Amino acid sequence: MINGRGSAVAFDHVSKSFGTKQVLHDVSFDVRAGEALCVLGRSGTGKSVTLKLIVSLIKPDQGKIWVEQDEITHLAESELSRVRRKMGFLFQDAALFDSLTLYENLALPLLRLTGKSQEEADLIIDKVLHQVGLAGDKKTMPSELSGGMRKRAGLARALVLEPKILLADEPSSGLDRITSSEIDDLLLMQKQEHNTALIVVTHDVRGAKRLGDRIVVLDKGRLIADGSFGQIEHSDSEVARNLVTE
Amino acid sequence: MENRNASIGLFVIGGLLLFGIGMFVVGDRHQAFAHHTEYYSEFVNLAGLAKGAKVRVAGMDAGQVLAIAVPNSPSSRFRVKWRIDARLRGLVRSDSIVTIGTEGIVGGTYLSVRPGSAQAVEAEALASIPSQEPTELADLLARGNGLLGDADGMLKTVGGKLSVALDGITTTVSNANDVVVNLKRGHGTAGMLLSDDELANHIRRTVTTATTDVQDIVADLKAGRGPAGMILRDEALASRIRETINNAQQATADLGHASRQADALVSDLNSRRIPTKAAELMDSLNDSARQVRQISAEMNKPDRFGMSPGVNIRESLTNANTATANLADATEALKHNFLTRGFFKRRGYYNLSEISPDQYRKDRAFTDPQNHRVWLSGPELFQSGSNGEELSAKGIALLNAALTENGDPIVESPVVIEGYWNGDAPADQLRRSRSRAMLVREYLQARFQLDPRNVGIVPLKNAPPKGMQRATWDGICIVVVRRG
Amino acid sequence: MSNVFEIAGDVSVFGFRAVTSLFRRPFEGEQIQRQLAEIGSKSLPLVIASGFALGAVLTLHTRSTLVTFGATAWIPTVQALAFFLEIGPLVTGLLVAGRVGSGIGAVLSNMRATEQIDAIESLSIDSFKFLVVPRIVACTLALPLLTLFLDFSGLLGGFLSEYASSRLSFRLYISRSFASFEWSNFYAPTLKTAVFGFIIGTISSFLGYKTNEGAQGVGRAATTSVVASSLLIILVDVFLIKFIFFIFPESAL
Ligand SMILES: Nc1ncnc2c1ncn2[C@@H]1O[C@H](COP(=O)(O)OP(=O)(O)OP(=O)(O)O)[C@@H](O)[C@H]1O
Ligand SMILES: [Mg+2]
Repeated sequence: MINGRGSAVAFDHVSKSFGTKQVLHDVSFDVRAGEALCVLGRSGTGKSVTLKLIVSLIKPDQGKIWVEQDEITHLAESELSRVRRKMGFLFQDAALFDSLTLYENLALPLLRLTGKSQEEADLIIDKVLHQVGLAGDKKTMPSELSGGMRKRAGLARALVLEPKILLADEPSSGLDRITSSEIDDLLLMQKQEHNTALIVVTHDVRGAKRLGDRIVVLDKGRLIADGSFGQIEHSDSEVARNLVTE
Repeated sequence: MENRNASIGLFVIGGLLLFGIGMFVVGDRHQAFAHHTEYYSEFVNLAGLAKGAKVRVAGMDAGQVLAIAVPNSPSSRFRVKWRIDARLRGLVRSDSIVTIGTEGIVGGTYLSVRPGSAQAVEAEALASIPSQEPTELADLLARGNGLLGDADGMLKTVGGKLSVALDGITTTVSNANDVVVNLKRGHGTAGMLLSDDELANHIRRTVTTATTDVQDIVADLKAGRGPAGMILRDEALASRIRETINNAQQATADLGHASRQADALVSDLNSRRIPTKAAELMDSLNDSARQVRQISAEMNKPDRFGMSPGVNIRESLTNANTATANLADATEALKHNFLTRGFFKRRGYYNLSEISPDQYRKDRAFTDPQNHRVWLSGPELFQSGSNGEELSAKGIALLNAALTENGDPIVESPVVIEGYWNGDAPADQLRRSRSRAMLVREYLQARFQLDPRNVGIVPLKNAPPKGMQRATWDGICIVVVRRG
Repeated sequence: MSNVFEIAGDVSVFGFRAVTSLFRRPFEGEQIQRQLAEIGSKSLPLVIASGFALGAVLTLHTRSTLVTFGATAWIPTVQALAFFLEIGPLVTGLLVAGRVGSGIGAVLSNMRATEQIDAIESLSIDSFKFLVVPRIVACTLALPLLTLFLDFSGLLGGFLSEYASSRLSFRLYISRSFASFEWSNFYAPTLKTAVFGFIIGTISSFLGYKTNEGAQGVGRAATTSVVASSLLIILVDVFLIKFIFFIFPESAL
């Protein structure tokens, strides 16, 4: 579970609590480059917290978190931004900047964090927006987008930097089946073409089955199951079994 | 994006512009961008004068008080440092007098610098300019009233209750009486008191100051400005002024009377051949008496245009009456004032002496055929006098006729006096036509009490503006400018 | 009570951090411009209209009082001194606290609630420099300028109201307006509003940035921003007036 085996992300006995409320208990898992990990669990069990720990928006109380070679829990801010550059994050509610147009939402990270020229950036943005099916909405403000469109826009923003690690918090919630399988295709393609490591929090069992090379199940802050979809289906834990049966 | 930058630009540039304007208008007052000359003056009583107060030279706002050093013992005085625009330093002479004035009843105090005489040397920068202790407005009025009342009383009952201002005269006269009495009785020693030159000077100064003060009030009344303008708003004050001026006439007569008495007294003494010691005393008494006489004679002397002070004062009173009546309806008067004032200024000239004849000829306002014009020929108006041309008696009659024929408008409208001289020497044309216009202006202003700001002159050599049906002219044309 | 001191301490640290990080790269010029447009340019109509109305009304009041004393000639002077010394700075401060302070509080707390601030951080952008510093800078720069707009529109309002009743000429009005002005009467009160701007920016950014209470926290942050910055402006004004008198003794009336 420790660095050196080519993990893209690794949790090593991580615990986190907010005040008196313990959210994560001693969680350990790892994801290799090019591997897709689906995180399942009931609402409020700490899935989003897990993702935020990976980008270091939250610091763990105990344990270590590895992103490739770096142990990020004690990194300085400047080092941290180098690490963050490798990751794309799709927030649960998309978290688009609502004072900026869709185009500016994507241009902001591209122009600020890469040395790309305006023209190169335009090309990339066009391509990514086309992939998520929002090519015609460049000038739209986030408040004018539907919930599903926002989610896709958020995904576009996460993809625009071509991350080596893609963290997605419920990418398909609020989407119809056709669109959500399109999103899954997109994620799969990303994984295959760029050898991206995917960590996807989802409630969509079909998606998890298609997407996930491995599944971990969180319950009340503890990791109760870790394995392939088939293994979870036959897990000892009833919660885990219930979560993956449609 | 473009739009946003434009709005930021508008905001920032607009704001900075306002800052600049602010600095400019505040600075304008401080004349921060002009050259200054600094002086000192000392006062026992500051009468509320403070740092930053205005300094006026000959009535013009010229600078401000920079600092006031506080005296450290009762014997020393407040040392006031003030500065004026360097362009006005030519007016500040070694014999200039600095006083502290008040801008009306609720106005602030300012430092007033009276221009010195042309003979005196120009005061050095940082020099100490002589000062006169402030006459506060209330003081002035009280003193004016007191002076006259006391002069009256003094002449009737020597040794009555007298004001500070008249102490000098009173003492002298009562002393004179004593001297006479004592001399008659053969007690020569009482006359010692009179050997004091300073006393004589004091009398002169006191009487002069009082006279000047009254004159100042009258002048201000005529011009409708200054403290007098303020006073006019107040019926009670106005009537006090009227009283004061009435008293002034009375006092003038009384002073004449007094000097005659003093004269008689002296000749009486002289005729009795007093010993030498007494003769010396008499010299100085004689001197004071002569001065008193001279002053009263001066006060009684008619002014340059043949109007006696009595007439002058009466006219001022009429004006004061009219003004007071007008001011009873304050808004009406204000409106009136603002409509007439600064007609020329609005047209971009501070006065017409700054406008060139060419400019004048081009300005529609002056060449407008609707303007009322009076053409008066030179030979009829002028006669040659001791120093160049002067108005002849016939000329004065002509001017009076010309202006009264036209009724009131002359008093209310801007008036321009065009001067013409059609002599042989072209070099003289400008100068001579100008001096003619100036002569007429002076007369008209004095005779009809026209607001100086509304009377302009322009020397036009010998050529009237186009469209006047005159190719050349020799004399004067009075133009009553139509407003609008 | 200790809570008040704790918050005061937090706000001070927050403001201090803003000042120090202003001088570190990146300078976020683009964001400063954006905020300057939002805070400055868009406040102009409000500020100008208020100044104008206030100037006109104030003249009507001072007029009726001064007429009693026969001191109508002092109306412009009184008006200008009142505006440039106190009314302009304070009213602009309060107007901007109302319009901009609530806006900053609401926008930032909403960004916090909807994870936009997290998103910015996850992009390795310093959200403090990106969101907070430009707002504080823009407030600090905009307030003196807005104050000038309010001062001068007040003067204009005063003039028109005076013109309506006495036909006073504009030149005379202006020259009487500044008749008893010292330099420091003009720039000291104007520049002191930069402090007001800093207060508005810091307090409302602090409340917005630190609030993390979802949707209802947004409204609270907005309201608290206005109340806290208005109160503090008035309080600080008292000290600044004393301070200005101390530095420029001649500015005292
Ligand atoms: N910043 C925070 N401060 C305090 N408590 C927090 C914070 N973030 C999360 N929590 C708490 O941690 C717990 C886990 O939250 P988390 O958002 O990870 O749930 P989740 O598994 O993503 O649920 P869902 O599927 O509904 O999104 C919740 O009880 C939440 O109240
Ligand atoms: Mg969640």
